[in-house]
Amino acid sequence: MQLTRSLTWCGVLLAAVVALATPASGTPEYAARAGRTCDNCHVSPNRWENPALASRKCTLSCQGCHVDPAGGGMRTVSGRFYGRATLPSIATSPRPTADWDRNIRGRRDRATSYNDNIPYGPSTMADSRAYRDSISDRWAWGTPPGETRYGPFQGRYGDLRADPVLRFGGDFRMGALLSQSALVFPMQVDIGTMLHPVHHVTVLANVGARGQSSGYSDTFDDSHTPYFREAFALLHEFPFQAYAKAGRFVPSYGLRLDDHTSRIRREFELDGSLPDARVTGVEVGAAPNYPFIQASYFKLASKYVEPDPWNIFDHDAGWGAAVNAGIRELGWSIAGSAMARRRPLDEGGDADTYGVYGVLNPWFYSRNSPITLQAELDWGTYQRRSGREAKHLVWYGELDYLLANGVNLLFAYDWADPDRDVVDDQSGRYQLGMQVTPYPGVTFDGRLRALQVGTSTGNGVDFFFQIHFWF
Amino acid sequence: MNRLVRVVCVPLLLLVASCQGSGDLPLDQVDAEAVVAEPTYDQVHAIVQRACDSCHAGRAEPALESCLDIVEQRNSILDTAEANTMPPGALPRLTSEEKLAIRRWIDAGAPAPCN
Repeated sequence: MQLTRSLTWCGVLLAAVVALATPASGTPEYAARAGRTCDNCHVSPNRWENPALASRKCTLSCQGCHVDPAGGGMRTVSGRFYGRATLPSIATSPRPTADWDRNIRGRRDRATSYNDNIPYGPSTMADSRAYRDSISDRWAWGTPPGETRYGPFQGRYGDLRADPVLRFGGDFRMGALLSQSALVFPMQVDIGTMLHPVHHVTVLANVGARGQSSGYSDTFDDSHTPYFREAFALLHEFPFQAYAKAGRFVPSYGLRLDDHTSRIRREFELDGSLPDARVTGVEVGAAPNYPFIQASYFKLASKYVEPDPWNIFDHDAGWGAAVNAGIRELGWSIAGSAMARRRPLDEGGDADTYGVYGVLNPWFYSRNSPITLQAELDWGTYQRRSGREAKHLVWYGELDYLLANGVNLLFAYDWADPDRDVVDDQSGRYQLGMQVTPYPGVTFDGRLRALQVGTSTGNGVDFFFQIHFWF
Repeated sequence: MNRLVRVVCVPLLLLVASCQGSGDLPLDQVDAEAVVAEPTYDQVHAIVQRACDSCHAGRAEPALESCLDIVEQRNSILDTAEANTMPPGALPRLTSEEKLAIRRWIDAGAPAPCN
């Protein structure tokens, strides 16, 4: 009965979201930061075209760049092209921050230094056939048979294969932590495989090795370290970016940050580095331009026992459901999430979580303000082993400033109170950092972090450094 | 733009300001059964492994690698945990539940397979 009611509400919300679909009035201006992806869809690439409304992706929706509509991990061809052509990076990006008019002949402004080496693709669909032989993609093969939405657009994404049948991707991170002693450790190794045999159908498997801060030997000796981070079948490429996926994933909830230690992820069993965060179920969603909605129903593993690393059906301790919906404009977004988890007490008990979050990109409105702000506030209840219900409250805020192309300054603050009734158990953490992307696929990330605890003693400072490679 | 900032940011800042602070009782008074009366060594070992072994299993003194190490250093572990001085730097400290588990294990005589 409860499930039927939930599904009915999801259906009503989905219908409302589709009904709210509107063309993005922000085009042809770039959205700030991640939103500067207009050329992925509108440019052929040397001619401006407006796709039909149902095909538009004028939003900061994760699926604009990632295979997983919930974001993170392996990128779509659109995301890879964005990484090469638009992502602010020092060495190779031909599009500096002042490029508001795209690198299209006839639309160039005087403030931008342009690079004529950008590959120009076909102007028309008929021309694109000539580009099939010029594709030189090291990590993607084939084109699905029959009519596909993106297959005919060879050349639109430079020499990247527009709609591959098979693709491999990787994500590698090394970390170093300096406090009273120095610790260098492998943080993460991810290898993703995407199979896209026919239009609308994709299977994604992402195997991740979880790094351990105790060092190399612990990371690679632990038989539980590698596991299926994501393994699901995806039905997608439908109008209004509608999709359905089934398998193992992390439920869509709140901001999916690139910092798994953030309390808005860790407090709610959403820590992307842990197998415990994975669930097995189904998720449906749509993002008709500005509004978006994602709803999932899933089976849970015990809170106290890691699920099997390879058996994605080893989740039978209880069930959960999550809804994530809001509006993602090109310059701002605001959204809300809710999640319920139901398990027997000795498997983790019940938990209800609610959150609101938003992003503001002043850069979209003023080229002199390359700033991004994002914040999330979550609250909810969970059961302790005793059965008592505890209330927790968590906050995350981040301010980014793009100092120069490829150089980002970051200030973040996250704060958590794991039990609102317990004294002195709250803590906050300040981060001041710099992220340098010299070349698409390589980022150096250094952060000075200060922890502020609720007691009179125990505050501390450290420096965290990360090298991140991805393809 | 200014209106957007006022509408979105001001309520959020007020919310955050109202979030500060917490309750006024320790966990064992809020919920006496939050942790079992006599936690096992395995429960304590799991906490030490997660929070301390990154440095104290072969790199830093005191060693907290073996059962004997943990039993011998139990009071030091509890003191630093309750004072929030370990783990160091900006690493997350032990939770109230973990601290209570260590304290109750010690109060129960620190039962362990090695003693």
